[in-house]
Amino acid sequence: MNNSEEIYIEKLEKIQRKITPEHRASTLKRMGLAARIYEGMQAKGLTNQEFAFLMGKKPAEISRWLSGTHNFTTETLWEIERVLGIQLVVGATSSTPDVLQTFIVEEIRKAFERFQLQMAVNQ
Amino acid sequence: MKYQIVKLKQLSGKKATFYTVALEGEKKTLFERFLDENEQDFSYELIDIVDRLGVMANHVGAIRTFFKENEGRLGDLVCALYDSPKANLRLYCIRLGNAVIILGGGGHKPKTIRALQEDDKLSQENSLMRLISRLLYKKIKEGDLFWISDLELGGDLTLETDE
Repeated sequence: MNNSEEIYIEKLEKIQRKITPEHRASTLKRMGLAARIYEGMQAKGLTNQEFAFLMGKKPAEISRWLSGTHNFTTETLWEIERVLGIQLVVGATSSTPDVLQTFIVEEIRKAFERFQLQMAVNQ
Repeated sequence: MKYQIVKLKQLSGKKATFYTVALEGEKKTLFERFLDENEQDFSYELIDIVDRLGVMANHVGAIRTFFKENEGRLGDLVCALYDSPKANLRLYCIRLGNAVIILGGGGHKPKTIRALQEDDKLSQENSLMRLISRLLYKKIKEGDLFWISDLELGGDLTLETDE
């Protein structure tokens, strides 16, 4: 079994030293939120397109949210919490009960399927 | 021509391991070259990229959505680190699950161009990663390159073309 060769790049170290604690905290928050939203989508079995439909957004916007580079507004996070039934904003719990959330998501998903079917028929 | 997959000590953490590629006869690896080439004009973007790679390595892993997929041919694992709307730098890589990423080169991608083929430098860097991806896949398929842990590749990490 061969282990890979490890290298150390001085320039990388130089760049890493320029990362301020504030920048790191902000990156960590953005990427952490993206990871939790993606997990939430996976837990509900939602595709990018389905989640976009549920959020009333375009799939490209969801890709940006999940890229770890997006700065979310609190309102958007609350809306995501409601749709996915997860908590993202600490100290502000969603007011919709889990069972109701699941029901709403299922109903909207069915509506989306009907919409897709109708689009296919129209083509 | 030989290509050696090497582990980046500073970007290896409990969630992901980043590797890059050393080319035969060249002093600097692809990722080091990328840092050199863009240090002057895009220093802030480089800081942001390095920070994001660090967060992936140590905290969240190399989740699929952090990358733009299908930057090569379909199924060849070549992708690019997602860039924010204001960003100009494109960094190509090969993603092997959430825990192993091989960083390549890249360069400036002005917002005025849509396809990488419109830029010689990006096209060249992308082609190189596609070649490395093909060689890597062959090694994995032949059993010469394998996982030695959830976070690490082992075996023969030297890829070779006939040229």
